[in-house]
Amino acid sequence: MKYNRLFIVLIILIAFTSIGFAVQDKNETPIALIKKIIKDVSYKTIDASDWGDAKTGIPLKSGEQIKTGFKSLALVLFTDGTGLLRVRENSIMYIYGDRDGEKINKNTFIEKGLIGFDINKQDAEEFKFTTPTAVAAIRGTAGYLEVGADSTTTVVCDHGKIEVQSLIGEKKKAVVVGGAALSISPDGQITQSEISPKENIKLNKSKKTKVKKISIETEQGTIEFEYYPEED
Amino acid sequence: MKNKISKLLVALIFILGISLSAQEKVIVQLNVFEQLPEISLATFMTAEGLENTPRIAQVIMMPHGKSVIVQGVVRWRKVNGTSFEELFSYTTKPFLSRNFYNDDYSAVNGIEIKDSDSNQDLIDENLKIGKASGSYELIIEVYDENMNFQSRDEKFLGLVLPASIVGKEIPIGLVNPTQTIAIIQPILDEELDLGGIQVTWSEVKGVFNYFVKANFRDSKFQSLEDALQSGTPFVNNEDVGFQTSINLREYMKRELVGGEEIVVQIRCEVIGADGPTFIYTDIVNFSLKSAGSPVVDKGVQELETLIVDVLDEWEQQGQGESEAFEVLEDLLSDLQNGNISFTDIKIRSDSGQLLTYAEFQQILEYLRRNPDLLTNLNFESN
Repeated sequence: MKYNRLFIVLIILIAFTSIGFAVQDKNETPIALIKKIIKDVSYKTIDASDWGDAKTGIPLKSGEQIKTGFKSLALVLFTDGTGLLRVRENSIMYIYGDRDGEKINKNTFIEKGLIGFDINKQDAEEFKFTTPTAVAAIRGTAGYLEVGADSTTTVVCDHGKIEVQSLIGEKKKAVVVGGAALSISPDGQITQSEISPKENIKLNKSKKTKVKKISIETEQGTIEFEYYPEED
Repeated sequence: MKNKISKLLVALIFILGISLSAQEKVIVQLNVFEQLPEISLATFMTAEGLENTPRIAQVIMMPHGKSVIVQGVVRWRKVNGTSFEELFSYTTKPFLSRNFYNDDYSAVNGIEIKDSDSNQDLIDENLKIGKASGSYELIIEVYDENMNFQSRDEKFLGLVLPASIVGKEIPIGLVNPTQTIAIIQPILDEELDLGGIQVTWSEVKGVFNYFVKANFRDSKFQSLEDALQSGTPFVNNEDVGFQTSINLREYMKRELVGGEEIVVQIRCEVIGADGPTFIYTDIVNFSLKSAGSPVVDKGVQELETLIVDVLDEWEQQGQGESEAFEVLEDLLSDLQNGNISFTDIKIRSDSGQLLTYAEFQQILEYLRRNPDLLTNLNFESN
């Protein structure tokens, strides 16, 4: 009897430990990694209370956050090769991934800022962007999503198709195709239009990832410029 | 009567012409190359003529084409010796003045030696030593075909310096120190009147042709080298002969405008044993006086405008208190107060490649159109 109880306790312990390992394994699997950093980029792990300086090559696990500063950029590459995110300046983004067999269903929450994306055609897995006012499902497309200071979400589609649903009010749905843009106001109203010249500039800028430097060497010191060149 | 006077005048002019032409003396200059201490003297002392000897010296004559006779003397003072003794002397047959080397003394198609004399004891002593040692004095004298003296040059080679030749002697082993040439006038950053732009430079021995190159500098951001080489210079490698001071205006292909900045460089060709080499002055920049603001300030003004735009954008984005903002504000103030000198700047890309002013201007224009694409603008003081 005593041995039986001990055996059961042991079994339970082993079972919990296994579950623990399994859970830990799921959380420990990187979904993405930081491919490139320009200037001020920080990240926060799930259990950390403070932001730490991000470095190129740092793996990102489900639930971790990235924050970019003024004139900064982080390039985030998904480990399953499904796409690339360009986290532009003054943005905060959470990355989530749920492994389902071979698939990873990805969901990126944009708290604020602008994220340029280039996502390969998805087979069965999901690729979603969530903002305070909308959720966008991507099936293989490129464009950008921007969350303004008042939580207005703007979705600009360069090519492909994006299904968008408002999370506020009547929770309306809409589809944005290449060359079109969509805006969801803080009260959930959806406005669709062609990409405006201003949005077009932002779209082009959102694609830039390489910076160039020039320096002017004078007797008193060196003036340095760092900029995104015309051709990327 | 009128006829007589005019005939007299013609005769006078004719006689004057002959006498002037006769007065034009042939100037000689002797150059000795660096290789002398490395040369075996046996090659010289045992050679029948000089045509097969190593090339160690050059004689420059101006003008060319006059009938001349050259007398040459080589004198030697042994190590610790007190006086020079004649080692070798020669007189050539008449020939037309020209530049030549020691190995051009040749009975065949060259400058023929008429008479020569040598001190066999001293030659034997030199041969025993094998290499040049002590001090040598090389003298060249030029006469016209009637043995009227024209000019003389001499070179001393040796380590022991008699008081009389200090400063003229080139020590063996340290012979012919690299010659340099420098622009004496105008000085760097000088402001000159449009009327007279006098350029003066130091003389280089053995050079009879100097070449002048001058061009406009579009902006302070254009390096002096880039400014000199861009487009077609308004004085484009003009051969100004052997004068070492010119009025630049006499060689200009275009008119100058007040406020413009000019860069100038002089070069000359020095003939050595291994062939000709060019030596150059540093490039000197100067500006031309103008009532208005100098044209060259354009680039600085463009940079100032860009910084103002960038500061504006950064402030709007809440960066007005940042350290980078303060650095940029200080830079703008330094530019406006002229605290940063753009005399000789270098503009480089991140690969270290030097950019031309035109390339830089293109980038500046691009950033002025897209200030938000500028990710950083910083000043790192020395």
